[in-house]
Amino acid sequence: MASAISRAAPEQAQAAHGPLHGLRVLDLTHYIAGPFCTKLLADYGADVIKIERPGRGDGMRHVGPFLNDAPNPEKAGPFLYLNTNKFGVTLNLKQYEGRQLFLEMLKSADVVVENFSPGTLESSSLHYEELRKTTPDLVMTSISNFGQTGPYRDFKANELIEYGMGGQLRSTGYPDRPPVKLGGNVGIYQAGQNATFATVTALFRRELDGFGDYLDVSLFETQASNQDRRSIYMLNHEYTGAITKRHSDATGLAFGIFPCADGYICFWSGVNRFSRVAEMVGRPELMNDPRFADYERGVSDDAIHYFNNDVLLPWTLERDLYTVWRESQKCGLATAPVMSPGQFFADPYYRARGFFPTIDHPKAGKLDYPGRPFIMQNSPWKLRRPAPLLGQHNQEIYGGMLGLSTKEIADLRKGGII
Amino acid sequence: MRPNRLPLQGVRVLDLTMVVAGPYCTMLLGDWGAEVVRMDTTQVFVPYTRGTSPRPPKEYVEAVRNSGYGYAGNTPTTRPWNRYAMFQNHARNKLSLTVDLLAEDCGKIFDEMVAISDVLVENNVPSNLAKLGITYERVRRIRPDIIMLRMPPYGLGGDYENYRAFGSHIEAVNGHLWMRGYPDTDATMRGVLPIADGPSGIGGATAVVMALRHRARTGQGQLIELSQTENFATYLGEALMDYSMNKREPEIMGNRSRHCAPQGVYPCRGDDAWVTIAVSSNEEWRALCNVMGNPAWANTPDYATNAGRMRNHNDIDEMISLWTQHQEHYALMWRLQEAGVPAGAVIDEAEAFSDPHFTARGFFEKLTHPECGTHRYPGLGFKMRRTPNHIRRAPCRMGEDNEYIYEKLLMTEQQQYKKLIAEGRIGMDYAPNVR
Repeated sequence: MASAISRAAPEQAQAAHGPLHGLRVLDLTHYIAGPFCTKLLADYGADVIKIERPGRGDGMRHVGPFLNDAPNPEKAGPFLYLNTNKFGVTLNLKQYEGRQLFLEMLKSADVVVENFSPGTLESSSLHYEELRKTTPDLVMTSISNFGQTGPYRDFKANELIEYGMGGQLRSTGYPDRPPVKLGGNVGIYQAGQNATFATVTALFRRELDGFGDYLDVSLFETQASNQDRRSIYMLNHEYTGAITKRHSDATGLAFGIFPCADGYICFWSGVNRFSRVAEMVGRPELMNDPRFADYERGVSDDAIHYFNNDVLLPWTLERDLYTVWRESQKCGLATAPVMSPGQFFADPYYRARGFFPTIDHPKAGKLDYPGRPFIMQNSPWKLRRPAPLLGQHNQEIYGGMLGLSTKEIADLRKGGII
Repeated sequence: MRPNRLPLQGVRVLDLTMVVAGPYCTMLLGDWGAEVVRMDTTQVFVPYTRGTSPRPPKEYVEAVRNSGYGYAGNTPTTRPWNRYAMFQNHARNKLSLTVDLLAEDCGKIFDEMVAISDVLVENNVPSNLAKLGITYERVRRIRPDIIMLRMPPYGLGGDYENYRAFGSHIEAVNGHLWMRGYPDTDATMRGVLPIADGPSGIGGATAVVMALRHRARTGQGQLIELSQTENFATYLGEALMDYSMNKREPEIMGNRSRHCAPQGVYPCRGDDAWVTIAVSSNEEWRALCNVMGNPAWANTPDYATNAGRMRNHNDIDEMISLWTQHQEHYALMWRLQEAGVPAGAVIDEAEAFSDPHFTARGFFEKLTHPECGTHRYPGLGFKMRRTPNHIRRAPCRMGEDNEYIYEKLLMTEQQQYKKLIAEGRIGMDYAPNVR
């Protein structure tokens, strides 16, 4: 069986281009999941045209935190971050002329990404089956809370609700308290990156055989298929009948988050590394202690409590965080310091790696942003432009790309179409 | 027109991954059509991949199910490494080859596999890979257009290059652990959770497919470095931008929203049953009040505005809890959603299997495994409308595909293949001395 995939004619190697160079994406997304998906497409080389409604634009422009805490649609931190490398136009899709302009742009597009409520695009005749009439090999990605079908399709949801239904909220937190969600909006971002994976996968096949497709990506299934415990625990239930509970951290030897002299360290040593931990804390004789001798079969809660609180804790408390981290790593243990976002932001290691590029935005000025999720040696992540101002590229796209005259553009503006 | 193939069909992935993050990445590639060949070894046991030890005691196997990492049927049998839920969950659609990687002549088998592979994925401690002599330079010499994805926790190079980490440590370093949890507790009460494995798997698969496109257009392969702490940090836009702009650390929010109230997880009737409610407008608040039967307390004028509800969040939570605690969580979710209030049942592992939405979406798929029997497995992460897709193969048993790979793909002489088996260097069981 031949393993090599069939290939298009090799182009001249162009090291400067991202892997998605030459693709055009029409971006009908707003808030987080959709914009994160199209940001990744744009950051890796696609030409993404972000289409916002005239006046208010993407709702994320109105969600802080803002620069200096002064609300301003051009200075909303999350918006600036989620829309790097995109062109920005305004367009009213509720009006006939607006939809015609969209279909004009679609003629030269490869991808449409949207995250409206399911059914929204059907009502304005901009759904996949309709758009395919213009672009037969279109790849279209819809991102929604629960997917385009099913009884929960029209439910309202957010990060918390999705984590409770699709994800593992139930066993996150402490036994005597309600379940507690993850930080920020990480589940929504994960759906966005999942949509990027789906989109590039469909695009890869399309370039080989011209076959487009429609992708139904949801926050719900991103969570349900997630290997952060959820899908593992569901299979565990199918295999064993068990339902997981919230548990305190005193469930394993050298397992948990321990205070040090100047911070906190996360330990996950594992049953088979106990001898290394015992040596690290200078108590190798514990290996012969009857309480720990048979640790592979399991040790009593009392023994765990004794080791974690009376042996390991005093050891970490009298050392500084980075000493504990270094010493435990020397013993081959999996450990890490608990850093705040600010500490991570300032950490010299990540600074030296260039993870936080400085981006100059016409209104927000120069700021350091989180950078590339991965480094591609020959087709790199690249900053080409900051997030667009609202309607910033109307002239360039409607005039330059679609060839409309200055008067036509002015009329569209007057008519509230752009 | 229907597709005659899955998107990644024809792509072969050589899989040197361990634990969860790397295997999740190759699972996603396999789900969408790639032929993934997992390289296992019977000579060394990698903890937390096919279990915590090769021959876990019965007591351990019986106990560990309650933490979510159990074994099929709660029994180890003679091959527990083919029954571990954490492994079985990502081993579908993959082939398993065993190679004695530590032996010199078996480096040759690795090289032969590289020669017929398009992609190599690994997430080992970099120094361990170096010990095996596996480098990008070596694989590129054999297969110039290969795509090699490496997924270190921190990065290649620098002080932390070889520091060991699980998903729990990755989220500890990039600030996520610091942000999550109850607002009134310190970091020791955040829980040790492998949150980052999900993002790492999806990020890695995305990178590989991007590189495949680049290769299809230029003929050029490449090395990809995915620092797991960095990839997951791209999910923390709000917190990191706030620090960048305003030098402010995020407030620990628990289940609450920074913008709207009330939002929380409320107790329902029964043991450990909960409903989530997230009110994001005055309209939704009025709708919630209606469902609650417009109790007098809810008509406090201060509660009519979002700002007032944010100020009185504790009091409101207490009153909502008194109301929810007598109700059934699924029924309450439906009543609230039908009234336009964002809400959801907190669904446990058993409920998921009978949940109408999971069922309607066809999420679970029944697979028969030669050693574990027939079970329902969690399914695909998204749908392609014109490309109906299902799990094609049950989780791979260790060494299950040796014959196919050695004899059909690598054309190893039968005598040589038989010799490797006879010497106990490959096979379907760990060598007796392996612990």
